[in-house]
Amino acid sequence: MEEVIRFALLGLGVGALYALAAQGLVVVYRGSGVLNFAQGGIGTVGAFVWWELQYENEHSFAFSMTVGVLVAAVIGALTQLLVMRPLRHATPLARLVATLGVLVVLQSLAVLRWGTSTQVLISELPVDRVTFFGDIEVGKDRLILFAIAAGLSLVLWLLYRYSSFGIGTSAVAENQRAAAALGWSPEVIAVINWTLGGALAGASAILIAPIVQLQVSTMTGLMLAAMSAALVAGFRSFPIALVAGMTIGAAQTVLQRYVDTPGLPSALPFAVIVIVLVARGRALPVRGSFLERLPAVGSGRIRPVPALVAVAGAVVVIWLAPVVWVDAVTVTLACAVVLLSVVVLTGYTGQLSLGQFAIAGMGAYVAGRLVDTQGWGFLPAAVAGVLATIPVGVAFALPAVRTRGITLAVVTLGLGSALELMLFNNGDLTGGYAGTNVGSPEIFGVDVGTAAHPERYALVCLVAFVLAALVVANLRRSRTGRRLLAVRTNERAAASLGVRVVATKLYAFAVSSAIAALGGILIAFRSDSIVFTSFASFQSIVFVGFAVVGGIGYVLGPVLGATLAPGAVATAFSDEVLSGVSPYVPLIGGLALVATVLGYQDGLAHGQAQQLRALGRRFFRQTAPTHLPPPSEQVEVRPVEPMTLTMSGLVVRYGAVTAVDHVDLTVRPGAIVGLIGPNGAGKTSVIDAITGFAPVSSGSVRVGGQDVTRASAAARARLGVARSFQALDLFDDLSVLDNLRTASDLRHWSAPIVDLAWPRTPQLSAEVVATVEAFGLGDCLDTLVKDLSYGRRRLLSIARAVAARPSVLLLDEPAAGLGEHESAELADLVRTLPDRWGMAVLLVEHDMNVVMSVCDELVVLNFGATIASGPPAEVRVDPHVIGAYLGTEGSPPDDAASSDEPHESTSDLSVAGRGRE
Amino acid sequence: MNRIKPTLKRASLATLTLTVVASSAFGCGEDSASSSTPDASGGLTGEPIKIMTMAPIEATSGTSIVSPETAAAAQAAAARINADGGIDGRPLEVIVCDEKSDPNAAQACARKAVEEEVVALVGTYSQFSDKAYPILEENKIANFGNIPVTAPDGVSEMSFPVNAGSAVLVAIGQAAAERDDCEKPGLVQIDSTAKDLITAGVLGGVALAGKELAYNIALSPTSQDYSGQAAEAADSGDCTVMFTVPGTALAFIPALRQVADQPIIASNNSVSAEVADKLGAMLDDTLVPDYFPPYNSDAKKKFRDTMETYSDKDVDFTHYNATNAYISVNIFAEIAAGIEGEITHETFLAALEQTSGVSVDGLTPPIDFTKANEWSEVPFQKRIFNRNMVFTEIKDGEQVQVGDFRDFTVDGGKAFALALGG
Repeated sequence: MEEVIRFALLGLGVGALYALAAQGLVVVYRGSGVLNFAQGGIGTVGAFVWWELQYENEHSFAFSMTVGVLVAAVIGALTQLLVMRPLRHATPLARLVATLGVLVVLQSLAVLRWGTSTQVLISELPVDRVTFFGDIEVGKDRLILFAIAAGLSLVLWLLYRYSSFGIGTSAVAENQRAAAALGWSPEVIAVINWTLGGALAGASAILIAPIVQLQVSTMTGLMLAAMSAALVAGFRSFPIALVAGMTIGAAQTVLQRYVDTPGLPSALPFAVIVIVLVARGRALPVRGSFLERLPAVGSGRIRPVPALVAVAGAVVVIWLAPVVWVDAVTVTLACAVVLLSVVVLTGYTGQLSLGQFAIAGMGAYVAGRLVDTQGWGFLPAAVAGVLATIPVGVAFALPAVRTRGITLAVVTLGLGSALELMLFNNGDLTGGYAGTNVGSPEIFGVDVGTAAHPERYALVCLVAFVLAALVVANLRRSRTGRRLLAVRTNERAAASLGVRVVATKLYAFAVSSAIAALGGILIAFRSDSIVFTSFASFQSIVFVGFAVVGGIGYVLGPVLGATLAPGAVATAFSDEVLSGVSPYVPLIGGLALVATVLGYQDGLAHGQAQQLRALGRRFFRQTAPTHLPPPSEQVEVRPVEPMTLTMSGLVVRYGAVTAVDHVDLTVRPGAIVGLIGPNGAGKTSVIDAITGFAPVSSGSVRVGGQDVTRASAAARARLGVARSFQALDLFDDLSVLDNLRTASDLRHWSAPIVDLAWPRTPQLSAEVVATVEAFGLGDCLDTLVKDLSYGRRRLLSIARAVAARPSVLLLDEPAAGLGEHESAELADLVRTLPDRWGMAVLLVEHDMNVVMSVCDELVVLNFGATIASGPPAEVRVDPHVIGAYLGTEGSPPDDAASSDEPHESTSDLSVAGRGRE
Repeated sequence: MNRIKPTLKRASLATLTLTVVASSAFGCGEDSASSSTPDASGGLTGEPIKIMTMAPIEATSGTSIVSPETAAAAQAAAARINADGGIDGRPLEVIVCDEKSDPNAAQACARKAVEEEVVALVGTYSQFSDKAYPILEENKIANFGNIPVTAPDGVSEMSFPVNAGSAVLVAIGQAAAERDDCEKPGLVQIDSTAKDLITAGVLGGVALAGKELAYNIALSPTSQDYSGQAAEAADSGDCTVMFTVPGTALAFIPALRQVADQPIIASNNSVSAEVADKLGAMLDDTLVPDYFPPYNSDAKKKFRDTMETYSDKDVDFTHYNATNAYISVNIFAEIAAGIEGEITHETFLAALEQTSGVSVDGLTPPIDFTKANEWSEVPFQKRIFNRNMVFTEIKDGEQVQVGDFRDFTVDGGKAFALALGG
């Protein structure tokens, strides 16, 4: 036990670094919402400046260190001012990639100035040992480092909790306008936080350098641990980041002493973090942040003529160009296949995985080992590699079920490094010294190996890329692709339309890992002996960078992005055409990455697509807008399957607050039941409980006689329950037509597979068309939702729910924000739903004119409990109802003002009820 | 922007390689495909005899291994040969090919060797030579004086190294265990795919001296606070056998010195001249078995003169890659001069296979290229022709030779095989 404590104490040194670096990450994240990959690079430069001043120029430690920290702080500030500020409205992904570009620039500059060798530094702290509890010895420097980390954490905690600047930072994160009211501009806040983050990076690097010694890449290698600590702290809490950093450092040192499995000591702490986060995360579908802009997505339409010309061009290059260029084309195409997997996963589905290159390595691993040890041929081994990688990819996806955004990114990065540390670097599993020898691959007896026939291998890569690109393009145009995009934009809305969010994410991970595995196999089999260590986890981040630069939502993006990969076309160009610049190639690459993100936030392919479209408009006829069959009053509406919604004794609790208290309610086919009550009465909670978006504490929900109380939101939707949302929750970056199709697409078990090869887009049914016309959306089917007027978006949210042809339809304040005339029209439309379609409709609405004109029955809630129910005429005069509306709680029934601001709530109860969305 | 992460690219190689990575940080801007400078021909006007030296010259990332001294030493050696009259009056031309730590570039170098009709690859150092071998084998081009790094370096019939390769593993184990102050030797190595092989060689050497390994610690190449491992080493043994790379040695040795003063017996790829210089007194009395006598030894006088006179490159000529290239170019010239008739890659290969008893400046004992290694028990290390190492000690930050060449072949080979269970 004493030995364990001793080794844990030894880990305090790196633990302190992890903690300080994590604080730097937290500061930058709080100030600007960015996961700063450049942190390690900033620290490296600060530490080298210190080293050069003290060791080369013989300045004092205090002076040198101060300058080192200041330089790091200035780099932090410049990063914000020159790179992040222009990107403040860009997608979070583009901002993340920009920090990656900054990292590459800083590292390249450091290599140019200080070289790649390790510098030995002598600790300025006393290293003599202190003895605890008899015979536990530990160096004083470790204790001092711990004290520094703890002290700085305390200072930061106080600063952010009590100072005006700290409060301003919190305010900016919550609400920029409110922060402005406090006198803090978001710009100033971001610059100060980046400066602080840079200074922390410099300080931590300088303090740790005497322990780990100084080399350009060292600090970046330590960043995963710091990110994990920051993640545990929710990128928010300084004390938790301190404890987490220390714990990781101590755990690693102890594990190193007692565990012999290679890589496990480094990987285990991250594994624990993953498990904790996954267990702590919430599986309920959530709405993406309002501020998050998503990357643009292409149409997936295949233009046969340009595509054939491009392929023919590639064939000519492969056949005629010198071998150097053929190799470059091979690398470009193989990497482009890996990038296609990023398009599916991150571009289409919005899941930011930083483990894709490790997944690619997994495919190469399986295929390579099968060829080497089992004597399999190239083709069967490649197929096996692709198939065997799918379950691994799905395992990577499990955290995605419960985590999102930055958390998912760090978790997948950790999983990727676990693969790297425990599998790729493990000699026992990779063939030991002899390695994995696969010889020259053959396809149907034809040698396609790069050594003898580079052009043949390039053709293999071309064929593989074209096939993978077709699959990705097909996916984009298919109903399955629409579901991926629906999940990316809004998990809640997707679930409300019957899209199984979890299954959809797993599917995206499965498809993308199969594609990544294919790419990994193509990359690996270029060599007759495979080097798995080249599938380093950090490459996964770099590859996401390439994907973003190319255009992460476009099938063409990967080809453009992959040219930047090491050994690809851009490298060949700089070698062959710009000889003499090779020392500067990494720097140029980094600057290009930053510049591209600044210039084309949605990637080069996006810019090209726009230019091509403009060109197309000039020279060719315009693409015809989508037209629907002419509306006809005589459309025969097939009634929906009649189902009765029954709710009995329903209770919804959020912590101590009871939002819905034993409510009974029945809605029959062909009838509209109005659910009314003051703000915060629990109306939306009732809808959420019926549709599966709020947990039911007790009571039951039955639809058509079937108990759905415990069913998922998607399952209820598939049974025939549809809803609209108060906040609309449309798929803002899809067209009106795609929003409707996501609801109306027929489901079939085979669709996710068939769509990859043969995407079909069935026509909207005639009655849906008629409804669309009735809602006045017929002329804007190709318009993106974000370009619609508010009123039309409201109508679309109802039309989308109707397009699903539900038996039970729940409308949450459909008339909010509409004018009197529009409201009246809407009321007529809503009335047709039970009358013509036979739907059972539950209507939550503040506009009493609408409620009174369409409802067959009213239920009135107050504080979650039913206070009255019956025909509208009776309820209207019920003294309880009048009391509830005229009391201190809210507004009277006919006060339309309260409905103007559907997002604002006036009572605590309603905050509790709606805040849990 | 490739390889930002510190990984051993081809761990098996990097570790076995016995290569010291580090060259000077500011090392030289070499043109990636430059041939020797005009005056390097020594005024000779005959048709040049072309050879190629392949090595990583320019750093392509923060962790890429570079070895500009390999090329610089080969060029300097050729320039001196030309100044002394060339090969029967014809100038020797060294084509330098930068393999950029990139497998594709290494393969491209091999193709270029075919295109340029070089007589042989000479003095090459590449972690990706496995990509070059298929082309060299098909075209019968010898890889002469290569630093053995990759698996084919150990088995290919085109591979003709002039140094003792993995014999260093046996040497460090045996040298440590033979010491009186080393009752409980332990091994510190870098974690890699070659871990079992490294352990086997060292274990064999230790067993030859009748002792056992007290511990076997693998240092992760990615985590750099080695104080835990240093404490473990200090707890478990009384001397440390090291087989790492310079960067790891630079981080581990200070940590070890914080907790223990035990002797260190280090491979030449762990403790390079640069490491010795940087760690100074921390390394006093450290024993380093090396391939060639140290830089300041008398045997290296002509080598030093050649580098000073015929190279203007600011690179680390203390590195054994430089000596290795120098020796290889000189032996090449000697063999080529003895060829009657046309000097082609085929005639050179045939002559090389008949050559024995060659040595340059006494930097190695006479080498016999007519038969491959007798270590038949270790199939992947067949291509070793020079079986000798020389011992050096660090004194005041400098390597000093102790004793003469020592052959580790016969016993070492058995020990090796025994440890591997062969």
